[in-house]
Amino acid sequence: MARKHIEPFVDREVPFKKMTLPGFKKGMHYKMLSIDEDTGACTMTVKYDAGYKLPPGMSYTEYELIILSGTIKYGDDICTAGYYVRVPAGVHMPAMHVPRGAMVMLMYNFAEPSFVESDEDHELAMRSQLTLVDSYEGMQWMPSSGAIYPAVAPGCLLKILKYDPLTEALSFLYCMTPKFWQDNISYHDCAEEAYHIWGTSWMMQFGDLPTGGYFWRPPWINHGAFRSDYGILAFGRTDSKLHNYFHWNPWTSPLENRDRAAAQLARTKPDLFNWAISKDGHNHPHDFEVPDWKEGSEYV
Amino acid sequence: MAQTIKHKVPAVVKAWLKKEIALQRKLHKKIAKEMDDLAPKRAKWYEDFFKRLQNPARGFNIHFTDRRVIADEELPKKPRRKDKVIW
Repeated sequence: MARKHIEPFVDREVPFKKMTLPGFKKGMHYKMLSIDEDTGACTMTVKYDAGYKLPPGMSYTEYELIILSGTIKYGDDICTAGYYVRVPAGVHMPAMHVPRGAMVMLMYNFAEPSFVESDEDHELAMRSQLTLVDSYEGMQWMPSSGAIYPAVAPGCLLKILKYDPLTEALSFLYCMTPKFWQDNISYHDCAEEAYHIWGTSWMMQFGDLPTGGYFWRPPWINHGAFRSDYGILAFGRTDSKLHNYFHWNPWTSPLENRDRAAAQLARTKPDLFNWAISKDGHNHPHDFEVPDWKEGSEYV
Repeated sequence: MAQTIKHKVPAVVKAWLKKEIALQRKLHKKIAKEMDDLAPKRAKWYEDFFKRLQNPARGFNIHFTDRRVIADEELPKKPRRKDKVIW
């Protein structure tokens, strides 16, 4: 995903703009948080006016949203703040109605925003992957030590909302308890994105990230140490497996961090590493279970 | 796995994307400038961080509850290049 490093950005500092793309009805307003220059995939905060309606329809790409405030009705489903929705490409959603207005974080994952009126799924839709969950009332917090090693310090808790078994990409709600602190510098092999629903946290490189604060961070970029005086509630995502590489040198570059990550791979999986770096250029990863995981999928 | 259904992108959408991408490039530059301006304050934050790493009551977070104190000789030396946090 080719997006610029946007960190920190506070959406409260910019006004909403009218959404004018074809298919979306009047009464939808957005703030662009980040956008992929190659594909048009993007993340926005979106405000729907009271009375906003959208007929049944689908998008050509997968999208995710989390409701920040207000209520949205999808057919008979009533979704309040904290509802997380993941809609795979081509899956049609029932008519949408926003009786009193709502704010959401809306993410189009692999292509530009699109909406096509339809009361049936596209023939390539994967309806089984549709997710609609109340992340506030319907799920409980877990420590990250149960899912990720090495883990962040106690007091940073997770609710996993999406796990892609092929890429290990995650979408999650996370929180920091009041007086949370973690004294290390972290980087990952994946891009990471987050939005503060409430509260302020601090990172040693970027300073305070308040309510409405956002970042899109490409791989191998230093972030941390961390702290939060009063705690936070936030939504986060990665585009592939999240591994915490911790260290304490604040001056390393992403290239140096990448080299260190590769050195770790060479130590932990030496045979695989040696095969992958073959200089004859004939080594191509191939998954016999999912041969089209990267190219030539049924979708494109 | 690609998660997009092949489709034609209308000209009006292409124009919207072009505009948003241009704005995003501007925003990236603005943030980079703001973060460069923060450098003196950040230098102090790095010093404080090193002090905490050497404080037996705090130390370096290795994993979850595991921590250790970092010795003087383990601390990195500041390189001559400019400190950069936006890439």
